[in-house]
Amino acid sequence: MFVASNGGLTAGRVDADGALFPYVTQDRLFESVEHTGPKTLLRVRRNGHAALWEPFSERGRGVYRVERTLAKSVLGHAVVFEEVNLDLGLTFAYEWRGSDAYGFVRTAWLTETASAPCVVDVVDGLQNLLPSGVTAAMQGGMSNLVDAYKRSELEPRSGLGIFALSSILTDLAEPSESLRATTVFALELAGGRRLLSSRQLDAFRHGATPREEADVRGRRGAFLVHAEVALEPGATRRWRIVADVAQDHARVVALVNALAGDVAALEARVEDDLLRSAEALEALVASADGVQWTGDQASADHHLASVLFNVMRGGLFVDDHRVRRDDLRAFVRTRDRAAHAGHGAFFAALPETASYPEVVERAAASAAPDLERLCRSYLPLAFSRRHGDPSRPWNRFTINVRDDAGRLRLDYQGNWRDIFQNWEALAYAFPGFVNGMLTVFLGATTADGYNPYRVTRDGIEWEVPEPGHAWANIGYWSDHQVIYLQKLLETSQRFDPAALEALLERRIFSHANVPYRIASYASMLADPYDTIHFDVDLHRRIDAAVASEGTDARLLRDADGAVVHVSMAEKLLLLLLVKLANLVPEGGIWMNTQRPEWNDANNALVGKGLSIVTTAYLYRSVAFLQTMLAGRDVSVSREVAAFLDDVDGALRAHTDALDGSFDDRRRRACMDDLGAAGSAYRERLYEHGLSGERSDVPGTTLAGFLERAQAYLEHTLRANRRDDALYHAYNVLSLEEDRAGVRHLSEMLEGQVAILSSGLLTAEESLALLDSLRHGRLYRADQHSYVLYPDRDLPGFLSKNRVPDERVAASPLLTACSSAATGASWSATSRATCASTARSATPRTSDVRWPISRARSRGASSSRPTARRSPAPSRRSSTTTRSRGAPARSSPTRGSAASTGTWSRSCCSRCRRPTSAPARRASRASASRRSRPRTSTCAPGSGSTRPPTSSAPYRSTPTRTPRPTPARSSRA
Amino acid sequence: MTGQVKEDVLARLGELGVEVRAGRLGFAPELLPRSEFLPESAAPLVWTLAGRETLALDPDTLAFTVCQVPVVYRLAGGGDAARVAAVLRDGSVRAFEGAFLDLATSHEVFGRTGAVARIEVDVPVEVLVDVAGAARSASTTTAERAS
Repeated sequence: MFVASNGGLTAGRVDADGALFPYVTQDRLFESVEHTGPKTLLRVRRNGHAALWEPFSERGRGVYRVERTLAKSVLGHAVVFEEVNLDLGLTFAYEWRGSDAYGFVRTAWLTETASAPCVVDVVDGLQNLLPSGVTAAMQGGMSNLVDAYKRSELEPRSGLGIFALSSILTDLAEPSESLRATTVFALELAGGRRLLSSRQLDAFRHGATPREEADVRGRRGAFLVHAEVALEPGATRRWRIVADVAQDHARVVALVNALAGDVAALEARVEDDLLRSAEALEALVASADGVQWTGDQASADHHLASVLFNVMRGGLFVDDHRVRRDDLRAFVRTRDRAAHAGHGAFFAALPETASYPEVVERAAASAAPDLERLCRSYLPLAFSRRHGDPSRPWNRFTINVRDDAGRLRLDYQGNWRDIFQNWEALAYAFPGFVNGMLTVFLGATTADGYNPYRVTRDGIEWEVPEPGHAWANIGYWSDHQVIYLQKLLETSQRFDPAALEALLERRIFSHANVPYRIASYASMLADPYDTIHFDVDLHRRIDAAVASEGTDARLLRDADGAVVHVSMAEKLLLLLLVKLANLVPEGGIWMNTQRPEWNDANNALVGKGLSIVTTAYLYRSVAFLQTMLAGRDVSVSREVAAFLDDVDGALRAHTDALDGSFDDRRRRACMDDLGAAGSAYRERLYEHGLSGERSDVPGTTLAGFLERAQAYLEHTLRANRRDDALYHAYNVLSLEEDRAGVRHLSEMLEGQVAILSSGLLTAEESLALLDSLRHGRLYRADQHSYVLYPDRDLPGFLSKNRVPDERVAASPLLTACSSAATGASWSATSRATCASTARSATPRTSDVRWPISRARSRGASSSRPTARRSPAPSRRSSTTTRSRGAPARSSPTRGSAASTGTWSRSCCSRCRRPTSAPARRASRASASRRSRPRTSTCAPGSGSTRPPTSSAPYRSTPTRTPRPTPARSSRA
Repeated sequence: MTGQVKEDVLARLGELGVEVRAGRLGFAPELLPRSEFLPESAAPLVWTLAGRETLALDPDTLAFTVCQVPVVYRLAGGGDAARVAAVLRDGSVRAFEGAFLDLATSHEVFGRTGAVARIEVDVPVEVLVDVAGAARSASTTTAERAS
């Protein structure tokens, strides 16, 4: 469920194709409130007077003095809308909650508050219900046609509303029956008449008594109950409307029987299931250490929400460190059929349930690297879901967390970055799995040093170009690759240093075989925007192999077709080498893989951007490697040893420049040497693969190399200190003949976070940075927090596309044109305006779109998001978001959606777009420049292309909990 | 920096002073304000490795879990570091000199074996962060800069 603060919502099961209400973008959800979702009309009769009241509606705004309240449970499983009518002396409220068994339960309360009895004609229910079988694409492009196929029926015995398509929408000349229905029923509103459409609402507003509707065709479905409710002074009347999707005939008949039989028993079962659903959710959060009991309720609540969101995406381990043999076996079979068949004895010897450490120990003892790698990479995670929501429509979510038996499915999937960031936090609750996480991480990096786009239980997935699809682009994002790995390594070392050390030289780690071919250094210089060739042939071969051999066909193989296994030490060195090969001294790591690291807000930096952020994280990583590898001779693949030699040679050749600074020529020379080293390694790799031959790198060589690397990194970082003690985050590279120039951009929070994390700064330097940050443009006083970029005044339309005078003067043609056009316009403006459009693919840096803020904004007076503790909240005891005063100001503003329905936790690259109102405006304004990366992700073998996704609550957690206290934002 | 959610989870561990070092679990709540301790007693129902149980909390305590093992902080007078003890499932108590559990006990906690029923930590009030004092010094800095 995704619900806006004005009540507009969408909801459903699994994905947008299983929607109860149309799945549309957030702006349209706000606008849908009058015709979609809950609708309540109350005709109040008291003392001979009659009055009409439509709570939460924009109709009749200003007629009554009303107060509206929005509350959400801390657990995020219930949201309550309340409207108090001060003139009529009535309060109407409704709550949305999710029930595993019954679907979406809306509980409504009507309370008399004027101490005078009244009789209320109630029409209450849900509008614009979707029948089963309407996909998101149909909702988006064919909604009018779909309406013609809608058939809404009332089962007479039970009063159950059944909403189905009269037939499946198809252009094929064949019969196609629709055998799934959406069902809706009312509880505790006995004797009411049911309406299956909205067409009698106007008549009711004008005083008519509606007639029951039993069969409605070709119209949008609704389920509205008309009943007369008599209220004594102070009395409350409660009722429920329960809706579910994708019901087959067996389930529909079961509901009919339950409703026609002992309704009280059904009511009790619904109530019971609501409690059980909440309790199960709380137990999950508790198992990941999400529940705390302290004197600071807001902190405890905030922590619970953080842990909940963390496990919703990354998943969590539902059975401590235990492993079910059969599931492990199924996992191995999916990954590698040959390994599954070849290690039958291993599985036969396992007990039905074993501890993960025990399984890993046994697999290690088997001396079969493939078995050990597979067992280590087996992470029995559940509860994970792909996210995406109506505010981020380029992600397609999937929430499919339970199997047919109602058990949590052991599965995970997510964008590479998301998965590993969530796992880092999860590791503190389940430290036994941290080396498994490391194994998955390292197995998901390629032999040329990058990582594919998505990670799932079944393996890796990469983006696939789709000719003609402007948003399908490929590339390596590369952000956080270094730091997330580093954090996992440090976590592992903290919990069990010996275990990590024992893993260091075990050759059980694989390479992902992503069919991307990175251009040679020379071509990269020629066109830094087009650097990745998609090897269609390799992609197809892998695809075919996945189908016959298992998903490990996506791993790099040797000449004999066996998975190449290398050590963790080799993987770590390789990653460092690849980054160093892209080092531009004093500029940062060159982002030349067609994707900006970190964020599509960096889109304009692709090809020319230099990352100080990654340089800072590399510094932390090298310091770690220096201690981990100290004094060790390390055996690596021959090709990697040669790569190391080349990179180290390039570093040696320019160490003298570290004493002073690099001028543009020297920088270019060093960059060329490093780039050539990387290019040579890739060329060998793409041509011949890894030979399997080993070379020993002596400890002294390694120590010397790491020391030199660290000196370059430190030099580069120091050169990026600004006068105000902050550090640059990203720079711009300009290449001209034999020179490499570096230009700085404005300050960004990301750079400060990275440099603070690097370990380079002393306490005094860190303090100076923090002080400067607090008094600089990144600080936002109204939220006592920081923004990602300074709020800058971007040039208006008419100040763009201009040619400066001196450039006009330098061009004989333009000068001639200009004097020919002696008229007023050219000379008067003193600047030429170019008629043609500039290269849109490579916008000037001044066109880089910097979002203003990622902090959320709140509605005018709804300044406090709701925080509530109990999973079964009492409506009365809650802290609420309340807007008081004149009716004209009583409804939530647009902006307040950010604090309820749509608040962004910035959980992945695609979610980084800020949701504050000014930022939304800013990003709308820049829409024409946006190239949002809605690329398809393809799982080879699945035969389908799907857009990338991320996770957001759709079913049991109606909204996200906003941060309780703005003051804590500064922790970010 | 992406991932405010996970950073908040990790930062919360930091606020509570949870430390893991060389395989040992310890507690150094030096960033914890006094106000985080409960003003009155409480008896929450807690999900532990053994199932649902009631945790009796006195005033001036607080509780959270590490690997689903309840950790109870108790305000204590005197001393300059926390003192930790592990209450085992069989009722016996392992008390330690300083703020860290030993390797074996830490291993039981990290392994989620259920052998450790509860961890109790005496926190000297002196180690807690002085929020009022910190606020005072912060405002001084601001005032200095303004002038």
